[in-house]
Amino acid sequence: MINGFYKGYNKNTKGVSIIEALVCLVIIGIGFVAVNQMIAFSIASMDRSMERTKVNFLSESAIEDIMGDPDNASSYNFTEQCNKGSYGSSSLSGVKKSKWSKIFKAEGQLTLGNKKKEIACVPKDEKKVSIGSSKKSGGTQALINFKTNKGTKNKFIGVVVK
Amino acid sequence: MIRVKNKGFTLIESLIAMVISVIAVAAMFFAYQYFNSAYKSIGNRATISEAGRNSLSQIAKDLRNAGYKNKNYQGTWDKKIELKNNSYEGGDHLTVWFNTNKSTKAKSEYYIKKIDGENHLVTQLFENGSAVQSTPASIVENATDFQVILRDKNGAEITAVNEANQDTVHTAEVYVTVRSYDELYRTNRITKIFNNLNSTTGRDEELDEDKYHRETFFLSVHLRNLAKS
Repeated sequence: MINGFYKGYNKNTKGVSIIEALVCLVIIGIGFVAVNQMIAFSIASMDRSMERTKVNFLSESAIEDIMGDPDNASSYNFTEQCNKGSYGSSSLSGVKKSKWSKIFKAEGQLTLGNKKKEIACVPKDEKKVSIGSSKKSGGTQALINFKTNKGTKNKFIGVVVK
Repeated sequence: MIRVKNKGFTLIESLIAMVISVIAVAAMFFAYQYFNSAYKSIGNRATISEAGRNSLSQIAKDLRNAGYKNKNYQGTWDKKIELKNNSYEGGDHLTVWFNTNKSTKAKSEYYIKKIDGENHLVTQLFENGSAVQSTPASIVENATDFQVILRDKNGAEITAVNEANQDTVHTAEVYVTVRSYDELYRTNRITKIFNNLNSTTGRDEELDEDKYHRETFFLSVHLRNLAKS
């Protein structure tokens, strides 16, 4: 039986060498690292998208502030990137705009283990409020524009305030 | 008879194979652990973010209605908005009144309440003085803090809001701080809540250290039916 089994045995037949096995492992390892990085990247994007949703949600507050002071709507023009502007506290618009600066960054709300919990600033990202007149109704309109993804993605929210 | 040279693996080969497989298994284990914790963390953050935003939208809707009077309403019309600072479980207690039709005056309350040992942000609706639901309904589980700051049309804070000054309320700023339902950090951390530190009713509260993650959600609302601009 044994003799029969080895009848077709060729002494040149070889198994997998250790070098081949190692090369195979390295290739699998590279694939593994790639998948690892892909998942880490997708988790980071989910995190970023939640922060953006938060800022979009806050735009509702900005619109409400303008609607509450429609006669002075023109003083609500606002452009901010990473650095905070200074707006004074003598007028309602100044008070509100200082507030926007803080809330768009979630500044002064929470600290965790002595670390401030604020929304990370990405260079070239921008929050902009432009007040103009509506072409259709002739009334005053507010246009809120968020630039995200290093300033490459634009999102607009517009409302007629008066 | 054919002589067969029958060889197995050498000890060195087996050892190398074992070391490589141990490294591979360890890498898979740590990767699994990392993905699992990241998934848990993102799931928790998404849940608290949704709960925070939904609750703020609901509160904003009631605040916009605060003081709305139907022109055919015949009943007494006294209170429109009331705010008690730091009343229940450290959170504020907000109450607003408005007409839902010509014969119904609704009262809507928001405050922090302890349910089964956890702080919840709850709401209760009353119509013409009687409760619509017998018990307050929870809108945010694990709500750490609920804070409302009312301002007049010059941006100055109104600390005690009552019948005498309720018509000067122009803007309401609402902060809801929500805690994750799972422990997301490996070590204990101290969370401090500030929210509007410059005001007289702003928080400066240090919580007991724990492993939970917390986030604050904010919305400001213009009260259309109170201070007319």
